[in-house]
Formats: sequence, C-alpha cells, structure tokens
Amino acid sequence: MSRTKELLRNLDIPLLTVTLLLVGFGIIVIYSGTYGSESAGMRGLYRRQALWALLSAGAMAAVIVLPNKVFNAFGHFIYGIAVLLLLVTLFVGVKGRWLMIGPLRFQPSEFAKIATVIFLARYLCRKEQFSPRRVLTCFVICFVPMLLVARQPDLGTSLVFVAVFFPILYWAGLRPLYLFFILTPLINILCAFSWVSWGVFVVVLLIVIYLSRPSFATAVFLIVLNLAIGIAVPVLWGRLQKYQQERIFNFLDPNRDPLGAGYQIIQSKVAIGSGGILGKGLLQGTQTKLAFLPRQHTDFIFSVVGEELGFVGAILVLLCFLFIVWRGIKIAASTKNRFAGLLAGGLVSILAFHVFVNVGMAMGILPVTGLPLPFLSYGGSSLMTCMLLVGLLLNIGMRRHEY
Amino acid sequence: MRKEVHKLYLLGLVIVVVWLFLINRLVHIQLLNNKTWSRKSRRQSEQRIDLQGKRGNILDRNGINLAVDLSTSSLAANPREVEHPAKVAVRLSMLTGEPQSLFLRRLENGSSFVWLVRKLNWQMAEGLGSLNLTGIREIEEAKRSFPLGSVAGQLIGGTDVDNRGIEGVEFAFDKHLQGTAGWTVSGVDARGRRLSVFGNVQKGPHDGLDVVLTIDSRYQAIAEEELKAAISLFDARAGTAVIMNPKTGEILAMVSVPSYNPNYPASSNPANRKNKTVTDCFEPGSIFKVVAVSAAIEEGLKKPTDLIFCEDGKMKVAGGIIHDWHRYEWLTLGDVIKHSSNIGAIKIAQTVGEKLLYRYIRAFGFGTRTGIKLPGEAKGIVHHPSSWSGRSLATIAIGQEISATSLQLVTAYGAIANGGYLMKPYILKLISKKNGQLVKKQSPNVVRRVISENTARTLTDILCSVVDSGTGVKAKIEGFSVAGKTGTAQKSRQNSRGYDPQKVICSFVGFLPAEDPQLLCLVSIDEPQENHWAGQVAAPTFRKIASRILSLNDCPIKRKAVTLIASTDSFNYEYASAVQVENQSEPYPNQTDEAYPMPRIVGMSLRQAVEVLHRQGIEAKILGTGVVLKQTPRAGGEIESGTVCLIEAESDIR
Repeated sequence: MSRTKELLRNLDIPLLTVTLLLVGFGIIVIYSGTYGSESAGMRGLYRRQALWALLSAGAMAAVIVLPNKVFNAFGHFIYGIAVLLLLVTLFVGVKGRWLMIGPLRFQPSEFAKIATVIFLARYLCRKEQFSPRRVLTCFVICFVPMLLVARQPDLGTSLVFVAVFFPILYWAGLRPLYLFFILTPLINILCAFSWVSWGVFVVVLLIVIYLSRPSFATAVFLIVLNLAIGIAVPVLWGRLQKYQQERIFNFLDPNRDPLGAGYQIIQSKVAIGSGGILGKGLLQGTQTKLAFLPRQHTDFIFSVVGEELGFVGAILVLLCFLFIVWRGIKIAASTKNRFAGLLAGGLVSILAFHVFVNVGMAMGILPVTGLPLPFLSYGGSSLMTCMLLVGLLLNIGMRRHEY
Repeated sequence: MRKEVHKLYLLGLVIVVVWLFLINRLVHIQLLNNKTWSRKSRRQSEQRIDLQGKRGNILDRNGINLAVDLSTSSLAANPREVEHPAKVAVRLSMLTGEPQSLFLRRLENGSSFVWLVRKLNWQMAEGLGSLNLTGIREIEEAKRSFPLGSVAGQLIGGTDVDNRGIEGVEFAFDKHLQGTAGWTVSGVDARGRRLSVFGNVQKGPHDGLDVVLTIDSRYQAIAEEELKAAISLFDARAGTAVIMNPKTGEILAMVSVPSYNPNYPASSNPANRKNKTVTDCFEPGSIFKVVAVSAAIEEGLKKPTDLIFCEDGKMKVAGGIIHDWHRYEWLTLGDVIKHSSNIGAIKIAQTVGEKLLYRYIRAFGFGTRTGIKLPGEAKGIVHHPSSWSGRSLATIAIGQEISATSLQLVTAYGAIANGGYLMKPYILKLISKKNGQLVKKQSPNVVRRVISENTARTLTDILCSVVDSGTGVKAKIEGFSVAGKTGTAQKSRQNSRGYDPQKVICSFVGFLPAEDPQLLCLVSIDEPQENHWAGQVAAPTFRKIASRILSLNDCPIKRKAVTLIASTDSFNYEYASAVQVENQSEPYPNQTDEAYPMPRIVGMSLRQAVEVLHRQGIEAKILGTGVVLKQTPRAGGEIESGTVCLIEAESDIR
C-alpha cells in the first residue's frame, strides 16, 4: 500500500491538470468551430470528441498503472504490431488511413509514433558506443513506419518519425557532429537549387570534416554522397514538369498561390489576425462560421482559438503546451531509468514538434502538412495518442526513482 | 544519465526558442497587424446591403397625395448561382413578354449581380409566385405613383427608375424628397451566399421629407378640365392656366394642356412633359398694355379720365401703320384698356417714354425669372431701350417684341391685385417629416412695390370695366366683381417675318373679387382655330374655371351678400351683370339644353339660383338670403313643369 501511496505522491498533478484542461478546452473549441455548420454531423463532432476523451482518459489511466518496464520488455512487439497495422491500413484501410473497429475509426499512424519511440528507446537504452551500424538501425526503425505513413499519403505525420530521430539520438549520446553528418544530405538538397549556396555548403562540409577528422571511410562516404546529390538534384529538378516544380514551390511558400495552397494559410491568418487581443468571442468567429476556413476543427483549430479568443487565448494555449513540455523534460531529466528517460525525451519531442508544425502552419510560417494540434484538434486517434503520451510521461514521472 | 541532463536542457532551450518564435509571429499577426487582418476579414465575410430611405410624398395644400411611393418588387439574379440560364430566360420571357435573348444576355454576364426585371406590376408579381429558382431573388423597391394621374402631371414631373427626381417638383425638391440611404451588414459565407444579418443595422436609412405644395388639386383639376374643353371647343393647339393667390404669391394651380400622366412616362409625347407655364414664353399682346398705363398713372402723366385721341383706328408709327380693330376717336385712358385700343396704348406709352416704360416692365418682373424653383424656368425676352428700334416703344406697349411666361404675367397682375406689391410666386408650401414634424415653411415674399395702392386701385377699376362692359364681358361671374384683361396676340411667323394673323394666342388674366382679390387666374389658349378673339375664347374659359372654383363647398372666397348689393355703388354693376348673364347665349357648365333634370344650385348666390331655376321654368321659393345651402328637390332628380323648388340660403357661410 505504501508503494501505491508513494507512486501517487510522485504523480505530476499539474501536468495531468493542464492536460485535462487542454482536452476540455479542445472540446469547447471544436463545438465553437463547428457551430453553425450546415451538416448536423459536423455540429455533433464535439460530442464524439468528448466520448473519445473519456475513452482516452481510461487508456491513459491504464498506461499510468502499468509499470514502464512492461513497455521496455514488449517494445519490439508494440513496434511490430504498429508496423503491421500500418501495412494492413495501406491495403484495407479507409482512404489508406483509417481502420474501422466497429463504429470507431482508428488511425494506426498516430499510435505508430509512440510505438516507434518506445522501440527506439528500448534499442538505445543498451549502453553502447554509437557505430554507423547502430545509427543506421535507428534510422531504419524510424524509416519503416515513416515510409508506410508517407504512402497513405500523410506527409505531416511521416515527418514526425524523422523529427523524433534526431533529438532521441542526441539524448542517447550521439555526438552533434554526427547528427550534422546525418543531416548533410537534407541540407544539401535545400542548397542545391543555387550553385552559390551549394558551393558554400560544400566548403563548410569540408571544413567540418577537416576539423573533426572522422574515420577515412566516413569522410569519403560523406563527400561522395554530397557531391552526388549536388549533381543529381539540379538534373532531376530540370526533368520535372513546370507544374510539378510549381507545386513544390507552392508547398514551401504557400503565399505564392493565394487561391490554391495559400488559400487556407491566408484564411487562417485572417482568422487569427482579426482576433486581436481578446478575440471575437466564442461562437462569434466569422472565418469559421462562414466556411472561409477549411478544416477548422482539425488542422486549423488553432485559428479558431486565435479568432474567437484572441491573443490571450492563443498565448495561453501555447503556454499550456510549453508547460507540458517543460514537465516532460523535467520527468525525463529526473528519471533514473535510461529507457524511461529516453522514452520521455522522445515523447516530449513528438509533442513539441506537433505543436510547432501545427501552430507554425496556422500562422503561415510553415507549409500546410496536416499535422493535428495535440489535445485540441478533432480526431479520436490523435487525442488518444496524445493522452497516452502524457500517460506515459506521468507513468515515468511516478516511477522516476526506479531503476 | 545524470551527467547528460544538460542535453535535455539544451533540448528544452531549443523548444523555448521555437516557442518564442511562434509567439513573436502571433504578436505580429494578432496585435501589430490586427487592423489589416480585421479589414480583410470584414471585407470577405460582410456584405454591405444598401437600404433605401422612402422617398417623401408630394401633397397638395389640402393634404391630397400627388406623388407617393408604392412598394413593388424587382427581380435580380446572381448569374453565377443560376443553374439553367436558358430555362430562366424562357420563364421570364413568358412572364414579362420581353425577348429571351435579353434575359439570357444578362444572365451570362460574369458579374454577381444583375437586374432582370425592375418594378414588376401586379400581374407579373402574381405570375412570379411559382418562380422559385436558385440564384434569383426578389428585391423590394419603391415605385413612384401619381394617384391623380395627369392632374398637375407636368408640375409634379417624375422620377427615373432609381426613384430620383428628373422633372418638375420631383426634380426641384429632390434633395428633400430623396431619403438618405442607409446600409446594413450581412454575413457572407465563402461561397458568396448571404446569411443572417450580423448585428444591427449600422446606419439606418432616413426617409425623405414630404413636400406640401401650394397647389389645390381641385383647382388644378378644374382648370385642366376647362382648358381641355376650351381647346377642343376652339380646336386649339395647347393651353396654359395659372391660378395664384395674389396676396401671397402662392400658386394654386399650374396647368399645361395637352396633359401628361407621369404614371406612364414612356407613352407620352416628350413635348407635353414640359410645364409650359414656366418654360415657354410668348408675346402677351394686349394684356401687356397695363404696364404702360400703370406707368402713366403712377408717374402722374395721365389720369384715368384723360382723353386720348385714337386716330380713328389708324396710326403711323415709324414707317408702319398700326390699326385698331374698332375705330375710336376719343377714348378716356380707362376706355383704352376697356376696349383694348392699340393706338391709345401706344399714345400712353409715348407719353411715358422709353426709359420709364422699360423701368416699369422690369419692375413688374418681366425679363427676370420669378425664382419659383421649378426646373427650366424661362426669363422671357425684354430688350434694353438702347437696342430698341423706332418702332419698339409702340410694339412693346401693345405686348409685342417682348415675351413672357404665363407665370410672369400672372405675377405681374398680382401686383395690381395686391395693392401694388409684386409678390414672389411660390409652389412650396412646407416641408415636413413623415411624422408630421415641420421642417420648413415657406412664407410670402414681397419682391418690391411696383405701383402705389391708389394706382393699383385705379387700375383694378379699369380692369373691372373690361369685364363689366369691355372686351372681357364673357368673364363675368355672377356674385363677384371681376377685374381682368384680354389679350389676343398674333404669333410671329416661323420665318420670323412679321406676324401670322391666322395664328394667335388668346389670353385672359383676371382676378376677383375686385374689392379684395383672392383669386388670380390667367388662361392662355394657343392657336384656337374656331375663334381668334381672346374675349370669346379665353375669357369664358376663365369664367368657367373661376365659377367652378367658387362653387366648391369650402371655397374661402365669399360671394357678396345680397344685403350688400344695395348699399354700395357696385349695385349698378351687379344689376348690369345680371342683365348680361341673361343675354349670354352660353349655357352654364352643369346645364344641358335637351334634358331638364333638377339643376344643382347649392353654392350659388340666391340671385344666380333663381335665374337658373327660372330659365328652366322652375318656380323658386326662398328662405333666407345669401348663398344657397340646401335645395329641395335635390339636384339631378327629374322635374315636371310647375315644380316648386325650395331654396334655403344663408348670407354668410362660415
């Protein structure tokens, strides 16, 4: 009994409170965002979300109760099941994204995020020297679900697997230099559009290699790879059709295309910008009520907050997320179990990435990728995943003294 | 793992930096650029709907509506929403009778708003009941309606399809009649559909003001009827009449025939839409002679009794010869007017002289706009003596080589009727809000004193003699002393070489009662074919108009009480006029020669009533004196010979 008491004493009540507040707030914003919508189905979404919230709260409780060693022990199973579900979804899923479980639609890609982090944490918790092989293994662990999700196609979610890869490796002890080396092909592609930037990139790369003196094989590999990319990208780019190039440009800079890709961004900015300090009031947002803003209850829920509750509402939401992230980092830092620490760090990264990409998209500084805002966006799988994520953080926090 | 905790804090720092980046962006969008984004939001989600204020009514002095707004509906479309333009065009074509291509062209216009049918009539509106098409909507619009039809048509004028005054009073007082537009805001969704109105009306439309005219629509109707009757009787081209209250300058009626019905502007001859009483000038002829005579008397150059040699009907003037229609040798100044001697008038004018005559012409208001505020007012032609020829003094004295509007002539005679004061004529009595609150009230304005009161009285006496036993006897009205003057002016030829004796304008201007003038009326008839004499053409028309006005139940002008007749020197006049009436061949307006129903005598003077009854062989039994209040049997009933009519009269009504 005393153990249970101790666990309860170590439960991060503020984290739990803020999380539940955000979930409740999300239901209200969904209600407001779909209020006045033409279809009754849309108007009833907030009820479905509330139902999902109850279900998720149950799942969260279950996750809190389980000892986190269980996740370590079954990490590979969890990951395996997630990948399997993604595969199944690709073939029999609704629009390649959802699986139907009775009346509920379920999105395996959401759960795959957590599964991947668990598996990564499990793989990395063995204290070993980082070898290229080990990094490659980690890369494959992330790459498999990423590829499967990208095939759906769900670009935003697939990026999450990449996003979690770097912080967790860093946290696990990989030297930042190697992180840079891993990143080089990506930076290379971005720089390859102009000979000047590409030249600068190559010079920087050579200097870094010269200063850090990696193994000869690594150096050669890096140089050859980057030169190849530098030559291939402009060639491949030239072979793209004009409209394909346009599409890529528009993706990277939606403002180029105000009636197409940029439409949502502009409408979202109008919504947030017109909110002002205090907003137009709940249910008073014209952008959402008058159907100017699409996907206002899912990807653009932050715009509804910004429009109806203004700067005060938006900054409160951002601060709540920052609070959750801070508590998560604290938990990760305080835990004595390496697996639990890695897991907590990965989970926090996922959460922060979601918030950054979603809010950045709503404010027009990032491309529209369709990543939901944790706790607030409508979507049962997303909500449950996020609550499971916090549940895991709480679990780790409770057991931070256990090895 | 402890030693690696700093890595986590670095991660946390990165996240904080990212958050600061987001917050910075949020501050930019929401706080710094709030106005820009708000404007964008409003521009796309709010549609300003213009609301039109109701146009004010035009009323006559008794509160009778002359022009009102009726609400009708118009059809408009958003061509982008119309699904089957061809079908719609067919239906609209069936509904309105307009060609399909017209509607099709409008529906294929790329804009989001087109009018399809403006101001549906009721048949169309009924047919529309079944028209339920997407993208087409009904918009309530006001349609101007003129309840009295052609009565005062030119005076009231009309409005265009957007309900803005374009002619007549509608134009002149458009500023007051026109309501101020307001607007409300409606939510518009991303597909351009109009949703519920957001909030309240932002700026309410204000209704226009009601304009009450000095016109009495009954006078107007009577004058129009009589003028029309005269025009058809004498086969004339056109005619005008102006009735004025000489004491104030209020215009009581302003008639121009052929008439114009502003309800159907499209089917009218544009020439008839003009209010010719103010827009058209003509050479007034003999009625202008009073100007020279006024000057002569006022300046003390002649007395009414002074004798003037009239050259036996023939006088040489600057190489030409001027004739009188009747040959006179010696006439008093009064008789020159009474018989309308051209030579006499010229001789008087010669006594007065060019400068003085010119001064009086201008003093009477000729050559200057009266300022009645009606559109298109002409100022007439009055040349300065410096450009007069040797003949000018003579021709101007008899009302040629000069032109004036009907309104100017009435106004000038008003000065004689009003003890020498020239009044500024006005048409606007007052302006009030829809709730009756007075905004502006027009009060009479004296322009100047033209002649002294004595001169005015002298002239009035002379003008009375015109009606009494001169050229204007046909204007005589029983129970009233009428002062007036006839004018028969030859119209100048098209080629402006001299005058065409076959084309004349016959005018009569008169006022009554002469002792206390309250009604001043000018009748002018253009190109009568059957008769060329103003005394035969215009004077009887004047009489008919005036008598009918006087017999209106609430006419403020009182007949002279019978008791009064014996006491004043006008007794002889009254007696004489009774004799005159008996001699007249023309029947009274209400009377026909064949059938003998009981005539209407209510409102007549006792004397008049007895006379009427007598002529139809009805014996009268009289109770009381003065004006007939009641008759038994009633008017219109059939009568047998030997019927006795009981007349109840009272000396003073109200």
